Amino acid sequence: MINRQKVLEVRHLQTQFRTEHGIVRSVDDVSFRLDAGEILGIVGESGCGKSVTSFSIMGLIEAPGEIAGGEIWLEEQELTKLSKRQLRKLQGKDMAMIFQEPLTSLNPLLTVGLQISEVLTRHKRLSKREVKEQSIAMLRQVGIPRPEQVYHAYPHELSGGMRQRVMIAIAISCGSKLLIADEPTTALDVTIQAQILKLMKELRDNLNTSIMLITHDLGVVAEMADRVIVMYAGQVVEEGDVYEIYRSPKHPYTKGLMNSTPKIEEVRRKLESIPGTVPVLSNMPSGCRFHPRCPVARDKCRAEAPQMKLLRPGVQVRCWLHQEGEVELNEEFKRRAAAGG
Amino acid sequence: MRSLKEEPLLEVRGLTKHFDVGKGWFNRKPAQLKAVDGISFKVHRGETFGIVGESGCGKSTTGSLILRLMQATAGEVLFEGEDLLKLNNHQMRERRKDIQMIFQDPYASLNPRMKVRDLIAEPLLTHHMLEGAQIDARVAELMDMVGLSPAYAKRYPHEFSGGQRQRIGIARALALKPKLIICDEAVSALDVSIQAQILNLLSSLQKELKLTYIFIGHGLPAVKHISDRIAVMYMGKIVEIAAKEQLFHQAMHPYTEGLLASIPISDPTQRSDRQEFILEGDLPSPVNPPPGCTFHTRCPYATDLCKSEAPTLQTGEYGGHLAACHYPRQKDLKVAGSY
Repeated sequence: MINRQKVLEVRHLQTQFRTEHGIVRSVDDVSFRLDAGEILGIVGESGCGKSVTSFSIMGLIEAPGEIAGGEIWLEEQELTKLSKRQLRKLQGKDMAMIFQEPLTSLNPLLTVGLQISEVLTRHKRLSKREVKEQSIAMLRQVGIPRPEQVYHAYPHELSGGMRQRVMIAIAISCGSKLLIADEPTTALDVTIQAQILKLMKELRDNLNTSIMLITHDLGVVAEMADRVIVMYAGQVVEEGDVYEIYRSPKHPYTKGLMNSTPKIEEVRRKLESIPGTVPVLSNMPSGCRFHPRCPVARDKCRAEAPQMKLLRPGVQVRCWLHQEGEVELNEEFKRRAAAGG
Repeated sequence: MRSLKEEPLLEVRGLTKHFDVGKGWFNRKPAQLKAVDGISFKVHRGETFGIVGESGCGKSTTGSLILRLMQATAGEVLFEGEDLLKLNNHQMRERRKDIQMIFQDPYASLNPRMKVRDLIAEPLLTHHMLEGAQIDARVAELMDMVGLSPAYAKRYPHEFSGGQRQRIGIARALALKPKLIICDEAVSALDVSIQAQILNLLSSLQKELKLTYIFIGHGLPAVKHISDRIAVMYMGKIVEIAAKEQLFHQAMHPYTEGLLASIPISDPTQRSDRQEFILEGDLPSPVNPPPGCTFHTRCPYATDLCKSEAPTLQTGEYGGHLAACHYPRQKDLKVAGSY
């Protein structure tokens, strides 16, 4: 798995939307890379920009939205410069996406078979018979029982888990190296979620697919990801190896997220919660965007926005605490509490 | 452990809700969907009784049946010894003061054209509890109780975030000083950091006001966090009831076991020692449930007996650990899961 071949690199991406209230920047200076066969977890709460990031990569940002800056490299190609037509050739073939609600992303009027065939016909030169054979093979590969029958079924005849399997079959049918999964299991029941996560792991193991897994669920990330990016209010606030992030989160927001998640193996009277709410994009706080909710915010945090600071290769954080070197967060919290805030 | 003689606040006996689905052809009877199929449980004063299960298991219908938002097909709902299902509408209306509900989606459950003050005052007015200035005082008190500044009383719901709206929903539910609150997926639509705020609020209100909760949810970690005892539902039936520690560490029903194993881990270092117990397949059709134990189609331990005969949940004493399974397991589970 030590295959360090880069599949995707996003550099200083900025995506903005023109609204009545002026320009709203949903994604502000987001950078990361994804290697072959790697699962990158992107975590954050609603409105943090995680979905807009993935839409930007896929070339799905429509007016009044636009990519205002930055670069997106898919292997050797820079995507932000491409025309719609050129992007079309890549969508579904070199990069594919699955969404939260498979019922809204599948066409209810077409059979499952037609929808898989569509992608194969568009991107590959195959005879009709070959298309059908391959479609059924794809359905079988994603663990759909009786694929010959499901081929002729309509989406409404399938359960939520089966529909998501169909979406995955469509996504991988042309051998895409990059799979963007945007909250792929959020709408599913836990037992079905476990099945879909297992399937995605198998894809990675067998086909060396790179997966960008977008989720609000820290458990799903702990289960799946190799590396993690935490987003808050349109920015990446922390990046690191999954073990490292769970063992010792660097950003107070990451720590807050982990502490506010109820854990099965623990009995706690009270959950530690993050006070306040996520800021509105059109009305960002000054300085560090997290400072109004941060337990260790100082004057500097209110006045000046921190930049991403590289602590170690692969570990980055956007927080003033770590500007002069890494700080142990728990110790810092205790110290501040003892000093009376 | 509580004394066994203590009367439960709520006792549900054989509660059943069948829906007719589709039209009957000629003289044939329409197909029946057994949303809730003869469930029984007791809820004691001051406790939180959790109900978990996947979509379509009947957990939300159970909540609606208790409050009579839906007419039950059969069964009894004894609240302080009185069967709610036998009350006439007027009597039931009186009783609703004691039983309130908090809903999943605070965006959908608040009238967007009403100000917060009016939303919270509405139950007080409907039940003629208070008048004039008393109402404003009570609204301010309630807003304070749920952590909203009374200065926001003149605002509309759209000016609030999801978490704050859920606080408004809670204030409404508390307005009539209920004894029992049914929380139907009350934190499921909220972001994790906000979910924690609301769970903490519910816990502190419970202590302060001596409330009893029925907490319905599909997110096991949240339900476990807040509940004292938990019932697991599958296909309209309760398959297991136990104190939460027992349920999470000595699950007896294979469905519970599968449910627990499918919760994502909370720490990546647990990946390797995680049990591989992923339930295969989907929920069967509720209109045409499998014969025998409804879980047998997905159960790795099913035998011929399970395919022909439905197991029953033995009614036992309070605090007992019950499972509707021919082969209850009660092995020690290594639960690695969390959210």
